[in-house]
Amino acid sequence: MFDILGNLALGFTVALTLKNLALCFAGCLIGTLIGVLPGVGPIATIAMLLPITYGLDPIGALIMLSGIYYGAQYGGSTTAILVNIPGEATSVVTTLDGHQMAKQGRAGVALGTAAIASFFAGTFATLVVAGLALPMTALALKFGPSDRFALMVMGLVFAVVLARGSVPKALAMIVLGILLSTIGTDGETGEDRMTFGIPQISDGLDFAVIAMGIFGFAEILKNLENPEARDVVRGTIGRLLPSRDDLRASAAPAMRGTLLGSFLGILPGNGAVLAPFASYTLEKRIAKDPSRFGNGAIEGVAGPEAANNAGAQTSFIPLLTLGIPPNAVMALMVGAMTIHGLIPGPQIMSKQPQLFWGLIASMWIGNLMLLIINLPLVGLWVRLLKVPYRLMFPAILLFCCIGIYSIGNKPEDVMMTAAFGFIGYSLLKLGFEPAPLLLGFVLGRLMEENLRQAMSKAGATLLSLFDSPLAASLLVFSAVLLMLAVLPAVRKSREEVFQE
Amino acid sequence: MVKSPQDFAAGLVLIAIASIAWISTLGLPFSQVGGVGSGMLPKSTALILGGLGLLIVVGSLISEGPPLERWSVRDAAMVLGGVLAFALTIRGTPLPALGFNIPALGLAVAGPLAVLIAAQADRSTRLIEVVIFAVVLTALCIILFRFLLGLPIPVFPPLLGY
Repeated sequence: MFDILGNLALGFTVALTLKNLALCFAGCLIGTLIGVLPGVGPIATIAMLLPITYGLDPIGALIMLSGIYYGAQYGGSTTAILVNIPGEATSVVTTLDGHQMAKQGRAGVALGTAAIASFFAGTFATLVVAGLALPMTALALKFGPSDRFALMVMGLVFAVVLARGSVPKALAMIVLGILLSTIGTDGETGEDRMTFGIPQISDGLDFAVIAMGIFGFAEILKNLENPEARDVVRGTIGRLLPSRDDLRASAAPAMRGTLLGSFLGILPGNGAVLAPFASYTLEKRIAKDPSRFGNGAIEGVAGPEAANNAGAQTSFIPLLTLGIPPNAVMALMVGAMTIHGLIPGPQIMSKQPQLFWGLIASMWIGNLMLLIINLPLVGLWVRLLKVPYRLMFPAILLFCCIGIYSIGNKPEDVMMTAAFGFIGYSLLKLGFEPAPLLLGFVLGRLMEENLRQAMSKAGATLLSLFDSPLAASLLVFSAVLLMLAVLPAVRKSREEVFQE
Repeated sequence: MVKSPQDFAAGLVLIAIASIAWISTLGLPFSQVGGVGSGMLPKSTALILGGLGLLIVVGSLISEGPPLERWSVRDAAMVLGGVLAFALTIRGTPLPALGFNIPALGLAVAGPLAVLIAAQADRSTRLIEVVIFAVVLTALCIILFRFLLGLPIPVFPPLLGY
């Protein structure tokens, strides 16, 4: 316990420096600013803003990126409540009751409740992250390469099972991501792999280029095609602070949502995406009068918003302790860390305690800032939401162009991103969900590295992967899980979960 | 008969990608002395990808599914064309095959160019509005990225001596 407090104190000395506070603030503000735009989710927001953090020192960059992430999440909820357009899967649930509340003239209360519930969840989740960091890291240090390989396989299988749509298609996206990660010169043997004689890709594909092409440009094309009727709430936002009754009604749901979200977020393979759905279902089940849900029930905002934020935060745990990103957003974080020469994994905490604990402390500060920034700035977000898309998308496009160019001052990168924009658009047209591709791309490199280490012993065969009992059981578990997901009965109940 | 055209096409695309990957990694060893060869991961993923493609194609013959979606070729061409215009003009591009070079124009020209081309993808775009918007936006970007963040992005054509 004292360890945790001491470590958090260390973290706060790092996070509370003027520079890091400013970066955290800027991250939250810009993240919300971009995240509020309809149709731009956290993945696209982070991908877009990644290059502006390249010039910072590693800790500053990570603090700013996490701020951008929370900001984008919160911006997505704002859009969900005010415009009825979810920025990402996790804010779908918020549209149900949040937008109803807004229509009843209680937009302010919905936003306020979401902000307070998120802050509560964020505070709790920060403590969970801090508390689990030491034991998880100790555990992770015991893992051998075959264990890590098996963990990654399990994470990918989870990502497939939790992805929307058909299982073979989600699996195909992950495998395609892994395949793309092998393009370029093999780090160990120096052989060219699938470079087709193009010198620009001999160092491998750039992660930011793929992310921005598939999530930035392809999203724009998709949005242009489906011009949603934007239903921006007219009239007043109303007061922001929930009344005593509102607070009483939302306290318990927020707490339950926080617990659910914190737990689901730790799971490998994007468990966090389930959290708001699970919370909403739970609240509806235990409510005295379930018919209120969908008609502006405040519990339906407080619970899922808390779950959403808690899950967003605890999904840092697998990344920071095991070095395995659980979802596409965390995969982007890996990309950012690698650019700064950091290898995510258990050694970060021992070798760079300032960075590790500073990041965790900044999570809480970021949550506090969101509360402070967002409530007074609601008016600004509403005005931003009224900017027509015909002006918004060229602006986003130009930011992306400048961002990619700035990665390495190479116009070729910009062209390559356009190519990936086309690829991403084609994937969407063929009914693929591209988020798992990014996860596969990042994990592909880590997997190959661990596979090599695991099999570098003399006389190693593929069976050596099952040498350690942990690795063997994880691999068997993943295989069973995958099999179950393909079976029709499970597929049906899985669909039901996503329906709700 | 094909019951799910979208899946049918998706599966075929996967098979095509897998075949290209397989053929281009033919020369890479699957394993080598001391463990994993450079070909193991690409070849095995290509194999799995091809298998999944086949599975999806077979599935599309059995169960009903969504039709092929219409592609908005014009929109895509405009948006990605704007991006390409930016890439080609920001620092200039030599095109020896065509016998001329695209001059380096800097952000001051490449920015509005990209915005104006991309904006054509939306039919509700109004010319005067978007021209003013492009200029103002580019000016803000120059202030933000070049002067506040200090990114080394060229701003004006070198002819103007900056």
